[in-house]
Amino acid sequence: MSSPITADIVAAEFAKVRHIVDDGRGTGKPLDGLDLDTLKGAEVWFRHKHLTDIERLIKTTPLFFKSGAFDWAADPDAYNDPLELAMQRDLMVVLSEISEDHPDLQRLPPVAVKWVTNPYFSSVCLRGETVSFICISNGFARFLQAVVGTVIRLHDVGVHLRWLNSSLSNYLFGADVERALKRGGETVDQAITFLIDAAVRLMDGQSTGLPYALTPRLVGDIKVTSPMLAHAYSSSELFIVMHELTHLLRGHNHRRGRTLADELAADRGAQSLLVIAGSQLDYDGTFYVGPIMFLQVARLYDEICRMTRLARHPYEGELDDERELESGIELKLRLEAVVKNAEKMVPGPRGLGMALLEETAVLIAAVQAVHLTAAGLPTHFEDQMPRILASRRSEQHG
Amino acid sequence: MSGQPPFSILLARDRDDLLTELGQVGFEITPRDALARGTAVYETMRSSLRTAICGNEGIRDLARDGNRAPEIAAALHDLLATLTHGVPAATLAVLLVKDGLSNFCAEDWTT
Repeated sequence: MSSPITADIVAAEFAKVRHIVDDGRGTGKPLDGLDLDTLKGAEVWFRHKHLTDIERLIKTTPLFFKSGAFDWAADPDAYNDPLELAMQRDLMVVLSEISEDHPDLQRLPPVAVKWVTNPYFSSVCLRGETVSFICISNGFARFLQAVVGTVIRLHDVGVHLRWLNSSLSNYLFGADVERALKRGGETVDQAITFLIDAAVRLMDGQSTGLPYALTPRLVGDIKVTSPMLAHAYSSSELFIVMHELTHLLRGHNHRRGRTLADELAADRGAQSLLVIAGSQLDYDGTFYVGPIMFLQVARLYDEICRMTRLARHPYEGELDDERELESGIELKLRLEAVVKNAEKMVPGPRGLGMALLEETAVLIAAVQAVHLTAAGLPTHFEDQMPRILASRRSEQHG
Repeated sequence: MSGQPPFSILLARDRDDLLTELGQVGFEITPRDALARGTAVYETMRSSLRTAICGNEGIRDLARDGNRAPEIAAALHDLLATLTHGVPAATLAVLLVKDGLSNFCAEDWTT
């Protein structure tokens, strides 16, 4: 056994790569969910439970106890945020289930999940001297929070409109959201405007997120009516962690540039690791929700950014437009692939992946409708979009 | 600076080329292009390393000494190499020099 890696070593290595992704401008906790103020002491229980799990894994998993490469993970000082601890535990649970002889494990460095406070929609994997770091950004999590908050706000409207037709399922409140958008009204206007503004703020490097705590709803009524949405944060973040872990396990080489083939392989690998996670961890629907939610949220962000840039600089940056279109196409290809993978990997309800894809697309359609209306074109939700535009225009000019 | 071309060659390279090189650092899950990502990495690193760079007297003295871009880039490289891991420190140093250290550190160097 080589020298165990300590929390101090991990911290020192992270200090040298952190500059790449974090300039310290972001502020605040990642989400409201693991905050002492909102959960009243649950953080203490949470830390104890996850650290105990990690200690057990280190003692019982040859991959961990033979090398000492993950010893630091049982040290509470290794974590700056409960989210890091939760994701580290999940990562180690998944790794512990992989056969010790698997060739991919031979090349795996010690991996630490880190929370970074940057305000960007960006999660990355960075290699330190001995430890690799999967960094989840505050900006991404806060935009995800804005999306989930918007879905819940529209659900609150749509739940009273169930007499209106919807072609969508309601696992993630897709049907309720569609009904609310069809009906419109001040709350709907505000919700969509808030969502667009959240993305624009993020694009401009400003912090974003909901002005209120969602946790009480997520652990209360939403957990009962849509367990999948209640776990949307952890599912999406776990997908990111598994995606980056797959890059490391497969030995992908970032220096030759990221390729679509690598990303598709990492998505597929992440999904197979999520199957393991789903069997070991208590995340309802993570396997489906994680990749689909993440990729749809990325598409939503992409869509708002593209249209905002176009609106701000209509006659500039043809090349940028081309790059952005490529980016949108890549996200769509990845999304289609993860839905197909899901159908093959897990014998779930028939068509569940496609149903979730359609449900999560409704917010993208709503944002597109705002932009289509701006261009004078008809939309699916045309009755209420002019009001949203009018309120945005008066805000911008006021 | 093994593996890096001399600073005079790096200084002659196009700014977008250098940024694209920075954009290759690590894996990012969202599909941004290397130039956009390199620009974001550069901005983040400028901001996070500003105090260390502008507070370094050796670099300040070199920068005040006139037109010595390759030497300033070499000194910056040495400093950045101790502070970071995994980024091409020479590329970052050259970008900082090309964009003007005096402006970057104006706030610290006027006092």
